[in-house]
Amino acid sequence: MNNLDIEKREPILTVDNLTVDFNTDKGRVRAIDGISFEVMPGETLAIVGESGCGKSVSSLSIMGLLPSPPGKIVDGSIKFNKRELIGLSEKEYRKVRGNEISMIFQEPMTALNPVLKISTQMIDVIRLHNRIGKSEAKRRAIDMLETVGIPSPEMRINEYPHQLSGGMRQRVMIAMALSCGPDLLLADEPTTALDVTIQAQVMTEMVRLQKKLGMAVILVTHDLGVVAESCQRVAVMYCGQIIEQASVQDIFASPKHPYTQGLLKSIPVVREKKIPRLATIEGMVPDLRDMPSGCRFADRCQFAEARCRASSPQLSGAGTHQVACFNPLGEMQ
Amino acid sequence: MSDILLEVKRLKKHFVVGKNFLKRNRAICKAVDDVSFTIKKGKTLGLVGESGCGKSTLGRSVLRLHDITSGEVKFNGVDLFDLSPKELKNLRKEIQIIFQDPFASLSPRMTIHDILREPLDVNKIGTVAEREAKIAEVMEIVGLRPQALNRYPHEFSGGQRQRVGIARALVLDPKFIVADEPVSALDVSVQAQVLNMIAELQESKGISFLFIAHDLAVVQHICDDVGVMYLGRLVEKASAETLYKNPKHPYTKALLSAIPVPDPNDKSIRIQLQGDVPSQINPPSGCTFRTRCPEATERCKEEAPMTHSTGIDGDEHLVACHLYR
Amino acid sequence: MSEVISEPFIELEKPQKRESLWSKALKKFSRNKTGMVSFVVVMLFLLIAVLVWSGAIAQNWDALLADGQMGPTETYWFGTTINGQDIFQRAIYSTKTAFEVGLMVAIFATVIGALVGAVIGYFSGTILDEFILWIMNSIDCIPYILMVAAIAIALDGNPYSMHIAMMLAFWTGTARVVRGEVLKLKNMEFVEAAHALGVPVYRIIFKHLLPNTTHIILVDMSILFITAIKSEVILSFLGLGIKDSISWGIMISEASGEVTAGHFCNFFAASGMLFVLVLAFNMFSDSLQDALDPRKV
Repeated sequence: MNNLDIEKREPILTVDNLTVDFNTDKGRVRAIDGISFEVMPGETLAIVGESGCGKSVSSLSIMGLLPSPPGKIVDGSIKFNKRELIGLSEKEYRKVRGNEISMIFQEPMTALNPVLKISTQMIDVIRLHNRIGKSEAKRRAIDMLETVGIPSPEMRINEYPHQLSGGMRQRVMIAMALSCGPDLLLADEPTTALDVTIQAQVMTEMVRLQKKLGMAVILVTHDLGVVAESCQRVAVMYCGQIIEQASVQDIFASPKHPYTQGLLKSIPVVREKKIPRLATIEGMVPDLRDMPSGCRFADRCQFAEARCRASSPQLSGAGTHQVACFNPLGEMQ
Repeated sequence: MSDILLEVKRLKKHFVVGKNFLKRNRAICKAVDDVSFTIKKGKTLGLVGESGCGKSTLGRSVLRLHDITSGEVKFNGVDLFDLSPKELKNLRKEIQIIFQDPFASLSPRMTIHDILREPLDVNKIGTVAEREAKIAEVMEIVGLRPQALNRYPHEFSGGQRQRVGIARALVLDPKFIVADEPVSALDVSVQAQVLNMIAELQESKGISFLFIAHDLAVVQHICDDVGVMYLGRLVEKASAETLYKNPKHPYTKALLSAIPVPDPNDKSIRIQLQGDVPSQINPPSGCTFRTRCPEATERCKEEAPMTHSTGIDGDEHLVACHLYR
Repeated sequence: MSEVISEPFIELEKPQKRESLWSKALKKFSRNKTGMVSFVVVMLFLLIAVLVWSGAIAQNWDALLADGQMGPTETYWFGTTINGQDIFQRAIYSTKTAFEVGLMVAIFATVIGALVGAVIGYFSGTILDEFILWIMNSIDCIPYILMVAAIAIALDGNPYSMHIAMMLAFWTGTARVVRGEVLKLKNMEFVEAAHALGVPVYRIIFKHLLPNTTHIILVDMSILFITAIKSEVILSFLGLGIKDSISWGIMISEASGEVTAGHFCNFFAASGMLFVLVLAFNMFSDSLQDALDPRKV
């Protein structure tokens, strides 16, 4: 008998055609232009891009933390566990935040309240979503601190943020984010502000925790090295659009979009022999207010043709590797 | 030797922390603690370390942007800290600095033209026409169009502002530039452009650099020699090639291993350092790295390691570790 | 990807107009409705003051025109005082007095305060700084009403003794605020860059530090304007105000006697105009602060 045990896994998060505008004093700017992606339970998806590409706006939109005004979601849907998030009232969103979806930010120094002890901040979060007493909440908090690798957690929990180092603070933030056992964690550049040795520690911890808790993670970053070590799938953003989506192996081994390839080539790595010049991508990112019609990367692309400037390519492709390009690398006619 | 451009000898910069009224037992922060190195003409030394290692303080000391506690900084044989204010101002033309933060390093209320013109005016270089020509020249070197001159810094992106910072450093035709993490705040693709520009400056103008960074990968591309700092001390220094191929100090090895590799199939074992960087005010006794060193011994607690020179003549490899005698 | 060394500036399709921080602030301000309305009101008052000063209107504020006290009539819109003087003209003339006090004190105190604040901010921690701070603290300790009285006596007969006293009392506030901002600015990298380039100290203070405090100075100046006008009211009430002229303060002081007898015109005219000007100016300076905030640029 054919025992096809097809495990029908449903994505835990489905973003479909999300479009976000910002009202600036120079008029309306489209920060994100119709992006779509999915995250499976237990999986880590990296959203990669440089400044201004819209990756942070994406994660804030999912959390319902988009500053509005001036930001506004104008189109699209965000479905979490089959439930539509756009349009939820602030009250309903608060039940979701911290409980089912959690977020950690880049600057551990400003994300924690400097005048409150760690214990106060963590207990507040836990009791917000669970009807338990203070001592029980404190016990859970100490457990969480231990899980994230903070030594002597029962002592450190009574300290203030400034008494901890940057790496520790980031771990406290992770502990707070995970204290209610969320199904999805949004990590917005969690290690960018940390030293490279501390970054290594924190990322290892996050990967371990994710496996242990079976949590899905969206890692927003510009550091492709970190992506290679901790993610399964990658979405590359440029000027508010996702221009390539693939498994982490495929993205690094055979990138299809010229931007992705250019990005990979310009990362400085420790090499056997010193090379005279780094490969660069010509030109600069176009201003969001003055977006060219057609492919947004065309002006900087050495493979651009007439049709690239005429119309904008959509994400397409068979299987799990999709690219928005008329002339994908490796498939050139 | 006449081809030594910069010589730093036993430089110490200590800060007194806290206002103890009785002036007793005041805590001392040893930001830079007995550092020595030389840079030859036309060569670049990279200085790498994590936060709190003192590399930025060292960079500013070398320019005499603040006083030092003890030690010597000699530029072309002249002791910087022995000069009168007038002589110092004269010498300043030859040593310049590029900063890390493209947003804080340019005055928000001055146009690009004024920012570039000021050093020429203040040092009374050439005629007005010559000054304008110089400004045009540096704008071209850094790849900015002349139209940018009338604009204000807030109208530019981080990468473009950094180019302005480099143009400002070039306008006086310096022989030596201290680059304090010039690409750390930039996107990867912009970083590559700026690094290439610096490499070009090294070749075409023969400018020497003291390149301060926290990323060993970045430094390999443009440095001839590399030094690694930890808590105010230079723990290892060698030519770039030697350091990357044959790192000796455990901290250097850990730093190299901590760099995330953009290759998902790379499964090399990472050296995990335990704990955090200790405070500069109360550093551990003996070797300051011993609290995190995977190879620490009893000796490391009692005795601070001396810097030993290994390596063949001409290719000096300095290490400060008891494992190497 | 080709290896390119220097990247040319990518020209945008439309030529962009260059934009200083001032024009940006102006644009932002013009979009703020409360700001614009209050600005118009303030300008109206200024117009009145200029007209008075040039001799066009309200010149008969002191003349005895009527027989005695009257309520508002057709000829005398705000009625008359007990001496038969036209309250409306008096109120209008007082606008000039108010602006005179406000502008003189605001400008002088701000200029002195900014200069001193910038210099001691740059040299903070030195003896100069400590000394000037000590002077400032000493000035602040003296209740300024006593200072005004003392100066009025010292400059016996000088019609501007009150103005001078206010200037001497108010510059310390600006100096402190500017000093605070300079303390923050002088550690920024563009100041370090100026040092590295050999820029002399006076130039650092005047070309690098002070221009970056103008947003604070402007707001401080507008606050001082109002403070001066309000202070004048109190001083006139105490009899220490201006002599041989009319101001809202003097009118209110006169009114205090009349109000018990049921004559409110003097009081309402003066305090009404004062209230409107102060309110409009406060709203204006709030909007100004928002528009000038460099963080929101």
